[in-house]
Amino acid sequence: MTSPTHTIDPIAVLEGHDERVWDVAWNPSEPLIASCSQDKSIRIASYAQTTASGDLDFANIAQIPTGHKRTVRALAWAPSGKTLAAASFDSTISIWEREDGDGEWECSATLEGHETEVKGVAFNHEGTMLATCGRDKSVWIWEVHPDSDFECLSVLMEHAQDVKSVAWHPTHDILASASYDDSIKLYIDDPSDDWFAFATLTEHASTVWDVCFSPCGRYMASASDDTTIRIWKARDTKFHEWNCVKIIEGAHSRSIYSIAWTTADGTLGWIASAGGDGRVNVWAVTEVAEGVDVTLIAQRDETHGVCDTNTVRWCPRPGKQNVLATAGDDCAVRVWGVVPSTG
Amino acid sequence: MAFSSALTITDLNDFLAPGQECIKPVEAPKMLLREPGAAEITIGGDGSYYESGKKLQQAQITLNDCLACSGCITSAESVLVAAQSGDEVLNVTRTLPPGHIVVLSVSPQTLAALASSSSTTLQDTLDRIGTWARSTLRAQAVFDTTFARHISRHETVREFHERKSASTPGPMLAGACPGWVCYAEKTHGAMLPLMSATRSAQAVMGVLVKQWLARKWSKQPSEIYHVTVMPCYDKKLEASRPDFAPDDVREVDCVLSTGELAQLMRDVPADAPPAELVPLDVDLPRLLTHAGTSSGSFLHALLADYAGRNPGAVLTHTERNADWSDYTLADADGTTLFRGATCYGFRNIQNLVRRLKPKHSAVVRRKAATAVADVTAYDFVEVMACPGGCVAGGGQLVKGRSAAKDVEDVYWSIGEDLKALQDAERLMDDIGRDLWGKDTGLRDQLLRTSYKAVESDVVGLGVKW
Repeated sequence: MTSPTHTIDPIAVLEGHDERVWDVAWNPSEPLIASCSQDKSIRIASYAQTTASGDLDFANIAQIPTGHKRTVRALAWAPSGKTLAAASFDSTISIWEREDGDGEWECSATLEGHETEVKGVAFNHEGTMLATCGRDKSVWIWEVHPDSDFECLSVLMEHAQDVKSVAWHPTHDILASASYDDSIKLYIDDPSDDWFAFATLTEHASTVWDVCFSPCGRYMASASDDTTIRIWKARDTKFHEWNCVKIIEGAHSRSIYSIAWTTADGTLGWIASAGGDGRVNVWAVTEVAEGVDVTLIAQRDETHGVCDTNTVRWCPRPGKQNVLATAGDDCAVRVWGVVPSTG
Repeated sequence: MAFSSALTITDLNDFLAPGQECIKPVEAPKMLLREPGAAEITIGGDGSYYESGKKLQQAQITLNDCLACSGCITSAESVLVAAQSGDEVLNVTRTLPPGHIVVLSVSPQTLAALASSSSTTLQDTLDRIGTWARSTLRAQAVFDTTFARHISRHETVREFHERKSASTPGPMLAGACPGWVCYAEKTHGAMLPLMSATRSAQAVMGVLVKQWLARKWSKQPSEIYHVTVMPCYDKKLEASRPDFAPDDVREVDCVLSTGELAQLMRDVPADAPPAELVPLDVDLPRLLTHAGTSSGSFLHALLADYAGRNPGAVLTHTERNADWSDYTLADADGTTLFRGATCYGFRNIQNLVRRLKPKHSAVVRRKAATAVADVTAYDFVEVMACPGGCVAGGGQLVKGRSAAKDVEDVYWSIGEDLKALQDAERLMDDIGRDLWGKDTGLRDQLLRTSYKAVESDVVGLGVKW
């Protein structure tokens, strides 16, 4: 391994959850970060730049008990930043909004329909649709109406097992899902009929835990229990055909649970991965003739002590796109900056 | 087990799926649960499993297990096929005790699918099935279920007015679709009070055959083997409900899907009818057409009833999507008399159910009324689990919207015959006099059913998160 050019430096530790933290979500429009936990609560922290050097100062601003009967497993902000969706093992999804924009967080809707645990939730790029997935092997697509009304558009029963996560394409209404059946499926709407799976990617040798698109939308990365990361490239401009163009092996010693892609100057961006070994890796991705080159630019072990790291997410806000947050079994959310090595 | 081609529903992307985990197999003998490689298990010529030469007991899951369990939304297809199959029908009809008779009742959607696939008419198809069934199954009577549907629609209207006069909160939801009933009982108990208690056409047919015709033919219910052919596998579940087996004698003994009947007719071609088989003299009307939908037309029974009471009323029809249509009947000055809808397919059911459910007021504070349809303003909703309704049922020959369109065209090839409907009305009254007279309790027992929420007791342990 070439020596990393960057380091992953701690910025903040957000404590307060009583049990393991499953997911963390950066608000796209406001300096807010939300986390959810097995303790059935959602916590929201705000952050601000305190010094000229750019240090971020975090403050807990809300602790929402949610009312969910079981673990809150996943979170997603709408692109507007005004709505937060929370997926729970109690088979429901709750929708949270602030009264008058800055008051108390209130549940404005509960989505029922999944048979068992809901494990993933994601808004599309326009905020007009919400996708959810879960242990009942299904992927649901909901249309977002005004005043927190949701209409089910489709129930996709394509996977043979538990669906772990869903991710929308950054510019098109294409949905990806990752499953315990070791596959990734991609879905699109047939305007004359229903949503359908147009591609199934089966090259992972074990559970696919997470999937994300590159900021440009031409690539996709997946993280698996087989301890590899795969990068997939769209072969056409309509994103209908995807091929694996890179396999990253040996970067994690245990299951990789989470993967996230951020923009970075001069490259296709940076990919961060995290998993059961507690390690966080950051790669710079560059485009080459037949796909991509990846360079490991930073690595940090024991990000949550001896515990599993469940999620890694990049801050989407301008100027902060080198900041990432991780959620772990140590009940904490940890915020990190990926910065050039000194010396 | 070999599945018939009709059983593959994977090309439908909107259906009620089997639950991921049936809890019954955990009761299988322990020896089956050993680590792989711990013992050699071989499969014998008869399909049985042998461990070291010893025959292993097969885990048996009956339809009643499935009905009692909330582990699945609908039960596993293999269970349905094993318990009520073409082979089962052949076995039973070939070994029937003397004096027992076989009756076959075929759904109009089945006739339309078979007629469409062989480019014949509904009448020819019914005749062809009749000839085949007399020869192969020794069936002494072959009916379609349109007369039973006539009674079911009539009873739906009666029940609707009963609910109105009792100020029962609405909307009333059709209860004829067993997929929808099963789903509601297992996951949406709050919908059950809204569900129409009127028996489906199949369940009415059961009463006609095992009660009324049995008496006319001087047979005990248990001396009649009643087979129905339906566009839907879930009708097998419906026929297994205890309500439809008084004194443990089933009113419908076996349900075949359209595809299973077609397979059986291919596999066992007809010979000449056996000489001793005499046709029975009492008959039922056949091939009645009820204008409206090809899924029982329950909504249109109510629309016709309201239109009949309100001369000059105007019907408007708006299509929300391919499987959700609104029908509003208003009088001349625009006052709404009746609001109804047809709502087919899993996703439309989701949206209907979610809007009918009482809000979680403790947690949810809803804002201003939404722009979306206020479903509580409906008087009646014809709910069916399959997208496209019963002509596109899971047990039909081919799947997909365009195939269903062809079947639908054939389905409507016989126009409404007022004379035939009037005759049916008269026979219906005669049957009522024969079966229950003035005893409304008995009438309800024969024409209605009940629903019960099934509590979930499945705990998803041992599943990797």
